[in-house]
Amino acid sequence: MQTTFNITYGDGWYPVEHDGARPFRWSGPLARVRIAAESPCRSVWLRLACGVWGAAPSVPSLSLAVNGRTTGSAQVAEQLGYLAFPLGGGRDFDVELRLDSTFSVPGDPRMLGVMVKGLDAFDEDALDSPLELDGWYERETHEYFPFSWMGREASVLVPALVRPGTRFLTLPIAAETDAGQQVLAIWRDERLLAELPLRRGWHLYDVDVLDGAAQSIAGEPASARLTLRLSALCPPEARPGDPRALGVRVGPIEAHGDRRRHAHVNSFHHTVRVEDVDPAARQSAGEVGCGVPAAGEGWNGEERDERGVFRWTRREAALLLRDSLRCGRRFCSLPLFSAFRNLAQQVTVSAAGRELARFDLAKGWHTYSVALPDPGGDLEIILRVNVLTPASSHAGDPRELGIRVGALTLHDDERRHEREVFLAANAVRNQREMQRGATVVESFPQTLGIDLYGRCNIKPACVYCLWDPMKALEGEAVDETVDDRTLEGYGGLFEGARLLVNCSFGEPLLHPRLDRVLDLAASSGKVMELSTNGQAFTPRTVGLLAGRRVHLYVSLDAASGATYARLRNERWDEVLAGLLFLRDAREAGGGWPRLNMVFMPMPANLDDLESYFRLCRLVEADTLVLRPLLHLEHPGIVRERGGYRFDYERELMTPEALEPVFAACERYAARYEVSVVSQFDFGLDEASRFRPTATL
Amino acid sequence: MSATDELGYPNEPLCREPWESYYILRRGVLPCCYGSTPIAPMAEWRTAWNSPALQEIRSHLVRGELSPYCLASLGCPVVQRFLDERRRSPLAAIDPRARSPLLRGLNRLLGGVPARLYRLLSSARGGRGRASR
Repeated sequence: MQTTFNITYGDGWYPVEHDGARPFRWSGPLARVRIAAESPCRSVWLRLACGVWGAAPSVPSLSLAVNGRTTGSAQVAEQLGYLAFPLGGGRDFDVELRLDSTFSVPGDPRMLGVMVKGLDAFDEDALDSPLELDGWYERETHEYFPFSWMGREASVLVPALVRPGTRFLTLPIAAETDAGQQVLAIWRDERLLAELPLRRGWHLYDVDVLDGAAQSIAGEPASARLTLRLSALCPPEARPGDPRALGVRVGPIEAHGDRRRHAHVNSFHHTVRVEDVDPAARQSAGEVGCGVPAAGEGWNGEERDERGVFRWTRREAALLLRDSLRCGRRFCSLPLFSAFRNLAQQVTVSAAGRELARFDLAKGWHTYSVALPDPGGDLEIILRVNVLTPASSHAGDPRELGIRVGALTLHDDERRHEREVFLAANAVRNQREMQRGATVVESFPQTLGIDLYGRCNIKPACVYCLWDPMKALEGEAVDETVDDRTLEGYGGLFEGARLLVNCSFGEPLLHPRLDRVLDLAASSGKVMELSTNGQAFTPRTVGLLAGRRVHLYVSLDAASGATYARLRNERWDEVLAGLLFLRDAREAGGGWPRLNMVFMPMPANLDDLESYFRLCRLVEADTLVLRPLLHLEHPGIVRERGGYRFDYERELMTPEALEPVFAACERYAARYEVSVVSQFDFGLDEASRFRPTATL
Repeated sequence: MSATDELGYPNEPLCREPWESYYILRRGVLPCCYGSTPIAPMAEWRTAWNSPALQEIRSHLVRGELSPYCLASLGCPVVQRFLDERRRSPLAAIDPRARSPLLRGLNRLLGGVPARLYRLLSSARGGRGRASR
């Protein structure tokens, strides 16, 4: 429990001023403060947020005396930073602050010592988290989580009794320099605990505070004071306009005793070399990506949709394949999009007056493969559609729109060509059967739901998970192995599917043959959707996923450790560390896997909504997915977790209660430039067709 | 003609999932990710694709109706929207499938007359989206 201190400013202070954000006061050369604890304390610390705000010709030194006895002195920050002094034990403290120099500014007759924006006392034994002492600039809160810049050197007090067994510290650190240019050394007394080569951007680092020491912190009578020393400051050009001597940003430091978490967080630093992930290596041998068609005859400008970059054709558009790029390759994979949902649109592909292929276009994006004529110089391919996209479907856009064409690929892989021909033909056939209302369907589904892995690493299960009934439903199949061999065994159902969606009640990233499954999906031209709880991002899985055509749906529903603990457990920091490394791996892997961060709005997590947008930005998510909590009639699920009573029925939000949530999402999406996909919109098309009957 | 008409939306069944998707899961085979109960055990994935159960679901959707299977899959947003629309309907007050236990009890006490009345009125209106149970 926190100890309350009554702080009274004595003589030597000028009146309170206000800078528009918060109050402050200047001291003269000597100022006094009286600090009274509600009860006697063993050890009290005084922390000042102070500086001279760049106004003094030279930075003064501040010495501090407590009850008439000098306890220490320190250099005041030129701008604003923390200074911390031990006051010793007791209940009442008469503190005297003495400056070795003062200054005045033109037009102000006062003799100014130090500007104090914050003066706080801390009972060392009542601390429940590490306390930043000196060497820190004032805490800032406008980023993803609160953080403080440290200068070249800073210290932190790790309380002795954070919790029994505590021996590790998790430090979120953001460097502005490339890997290894700044090294952070962490010292405890005269002992070097760790040297961390820092990476650019936010990353988590985990330090064993007891490394080499015989005694546990919890067993020691006093807290541990750690010193953090940087090998180099952040280059001034990285923070233009900021006059402070800045080192790195450090987020909330957390003490813990979890050896597994310590190993997990650090494993990324030692084993993942995301720089080595080469997206080209994930491509089939011999293929060449040509990008979207260059501007030319018959094309509209470059645009982007949820699939990526594309161009609309007009009625007819010409593609020039340079011989130097083609290098004799025989096939061209063309991703085409049709807005028609009735197979009314066709495209004819021709070259030198000869028709190469004619495709009925299934709705949406599909890849169509064209066998090219024998090589012999540059090749001009003409794409011509039989019908334009109706103007009524793009009202306000006067352009002539045919079809969308994405980034095309040239290759020499005959099996791939056959596979793509089969997939496109199956999609058309499937759509045709659906349109004519066939109840016996000879085509294969375009989406195959699979159940990769039936075990989960979150135990007990997430509060809203239907784990027990689902495992009961699985019955004898609960231990059924599903892997790459199983998928191949599905025959046409597997071959005809363009999309594999994993719907396990289990964590797919734990699959022992995940590498083979991903390889099979890639070699079969499938896109995969994997929903994950985010607690299985290990160096192995992140390495496997980097550069793969996988859509990850990460179900977090929380942007803070406290909320995460309400829904799942206390492994928030591991999740964050994994996501940060995934971010780097995705960057190295050409943006793959795609990252979709799922948020199910519920009373349990609504306070985290804005932070979730910030988190999405931090981890560079492709989308934030708003997903409704699964509607259950009388769910009867009530669980106590993380200090919260999760009553499923009460967490189901009504449409009216969701309105302000959607409005807030719109604001945050614009503010944080995060793309939002709302799964609350599912079924709108269908609803429009039964509405006339339903509203009698 | 509206844009959706020109693009061919009206040619589609009420929901496309049972044609476009198929889920082979440990808990069984499902026609869509919102399916409440499996239409077959996992081991029967070969035959379930054109099983009578899935054919029945498709035939209802082709007619613009939600099948009993769909209506029992309350997690489905299409179903939720349908039920929501129905709840707002003036006839919902006498709909025996309205979820109020009080109304269900009342229906039983009155010998099922409200339910019969509801069905009569509903069938007189005809059209898509009616629950066909």
